[in-house]
Amino acid sequence: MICYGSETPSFFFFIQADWIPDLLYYAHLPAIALSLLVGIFVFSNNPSNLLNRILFFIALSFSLIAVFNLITWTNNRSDIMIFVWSLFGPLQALVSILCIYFIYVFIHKKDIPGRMKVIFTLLLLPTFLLAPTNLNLSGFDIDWCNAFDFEGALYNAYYSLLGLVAIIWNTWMLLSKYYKTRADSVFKKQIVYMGIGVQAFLVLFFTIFYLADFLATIHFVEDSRLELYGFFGMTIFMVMMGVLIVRFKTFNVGAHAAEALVLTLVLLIAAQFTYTNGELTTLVLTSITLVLTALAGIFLIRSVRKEIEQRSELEKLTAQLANANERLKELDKLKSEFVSIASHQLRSPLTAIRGYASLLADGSYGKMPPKAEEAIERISESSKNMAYSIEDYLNVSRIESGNMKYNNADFNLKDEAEKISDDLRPQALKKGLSMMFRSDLKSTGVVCADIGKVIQIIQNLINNSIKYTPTGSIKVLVRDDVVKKRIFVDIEDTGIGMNQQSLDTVFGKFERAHNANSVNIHGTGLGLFVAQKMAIGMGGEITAHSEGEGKGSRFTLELPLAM
Amino acid sequence: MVLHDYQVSYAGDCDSEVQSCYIGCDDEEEADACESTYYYSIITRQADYLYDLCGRDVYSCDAAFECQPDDPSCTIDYCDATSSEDECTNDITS
Repeated sequence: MICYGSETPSFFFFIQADWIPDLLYYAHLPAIALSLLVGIFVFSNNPSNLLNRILFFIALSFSLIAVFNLITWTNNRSDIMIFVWSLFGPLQALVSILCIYFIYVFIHKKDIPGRMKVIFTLLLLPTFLLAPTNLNLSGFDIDWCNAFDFEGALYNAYYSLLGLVAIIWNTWMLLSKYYKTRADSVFKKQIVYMGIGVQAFLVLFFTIFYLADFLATIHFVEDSRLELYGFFGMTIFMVMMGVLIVRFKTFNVGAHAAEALVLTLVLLIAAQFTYTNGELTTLVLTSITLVLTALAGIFLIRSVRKEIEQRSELEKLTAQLANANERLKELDKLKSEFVSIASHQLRSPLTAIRGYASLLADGSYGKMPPKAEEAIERISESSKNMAYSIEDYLNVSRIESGNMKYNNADFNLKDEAEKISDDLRPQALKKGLSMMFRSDLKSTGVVCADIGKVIQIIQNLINNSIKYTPTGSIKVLVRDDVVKKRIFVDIEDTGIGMNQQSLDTVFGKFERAHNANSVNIHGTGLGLFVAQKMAIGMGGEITAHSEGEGKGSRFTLELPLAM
Repeated sequence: MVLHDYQVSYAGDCDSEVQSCYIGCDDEEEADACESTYYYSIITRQADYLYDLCGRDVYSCDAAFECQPDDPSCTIDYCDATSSEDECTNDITS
């Protein structure tokens, strides 16, 4: 049946009549376009993502409601209108449940449990089963071309109540997650945008729709044009989704987000044409704005595409680098294990070589000819160097595998440093170097550290000074800073010195000063690396200082005082 | 969904001299007092029966404005001043 005095629309919902509200197309068309655009973009970019799928179905259900609503405003056939009118209930109920589902998945990053799916289905079932019955709609007024007087009050209240349930449920989920999330978390910001978007949509859409319908049913107002404002809720929702897409990559849609955003802007401006009432100035201004926006949009899309391509390339390279780094760490670990095993295998025979060489040297096997004595001395010296190298390799291996053990206990560092200086002085004198020891302490000089390792470090540093000082002197100074609770052992020489480049790398693994070979060819480049790691392991450090090549060096071992 | 099994309601004829009619206003502009009124009853009947009887255009079909004896769903409501919120013409029963 055709309504009294109504015009027949073109394409189901295009009509020009005086009684048509000014806002009609401006409220419907951008909201439909925007929701479909965002929904389809998000879905087509990652259909396997549950959140994307739910957003798509919300957009689709909302668009159906909006299109059907437009039909009810503009159509004049009772059979078409009562059919679409009867679908408002199931679709609004579906949107409510989908919004709860959407927020649940967004917050928990997983699908809802089966029990909740059953609850959702049970909540939705009445709206679908009762939709074709008189409990939903029983008739149609062809004079006024509406069905307000024939809507079932209980059915109407039920699906409107589902909207209220969605608002309350979502508020509870969003707020509880918001307060549980760390203040500086990016997710906290995402919750805010998501909350504003979804809740603004639900509140505007359901309350205004219910109110408009109620007021029209009790004939307080002539028609339900108030409901047109409810559609702006979807625009807010989709704008917030756009922010989440562009700023937080929430739906992982890449460059399409910019395209969607530009297209949305163009659509929103184009929608102004439905509201201009044919005024020439407004038409011209809207057209210019539309063209300029479209042009700016094209530039924006191009630059975003370029940036995304570069970022994606960078991410690929970063991933490759991370993989390579992991592989290198693995190889380094394997190497340390190999060095550890190999060093242990070498140490046992070396101990035997050194032992027998010592026995030969002290005459346990009888008097050796002078030439043999010289050979035995070389064997002893070489095996001693080799033992030091193996010890270095083993220490590196222990440090890198995290197996270096420190047996810390209180001892007097000044006494130990003095003893080491006394022990090594003959070696220095043999090379023609003078060696002085001095202390300048305000404390007792007691430290809590591994005495064996501290001795090893100081020996290493003084030995280095002896090796790399052709002429001159070596000074050992023990001093402290009681305010900072630190104690220092300075080993200063007049040796070959170092340039800045060597100072920067001298504590690295297998690193030696570039001029080191000129006076000593036997170094492994591990001694200072091991010493530094040990010092750090005991809460201290070693620093190196030199005025330059040929100007001597000063190495300082720093440890915490036991006070 | 609701397709054919529904009722339609529309304004029927009403003679204010002999029947209690609803009063409608024909004025284009909204005003406090109505200058041009008309009288009507409300006819309610099954949509599919009416469609068979008149097709889509009810308003140019005379049969639409009276209840046929074989149409039990058809009712014509006149204004009841005691129960209706609408303004009625003089109730002929009083």
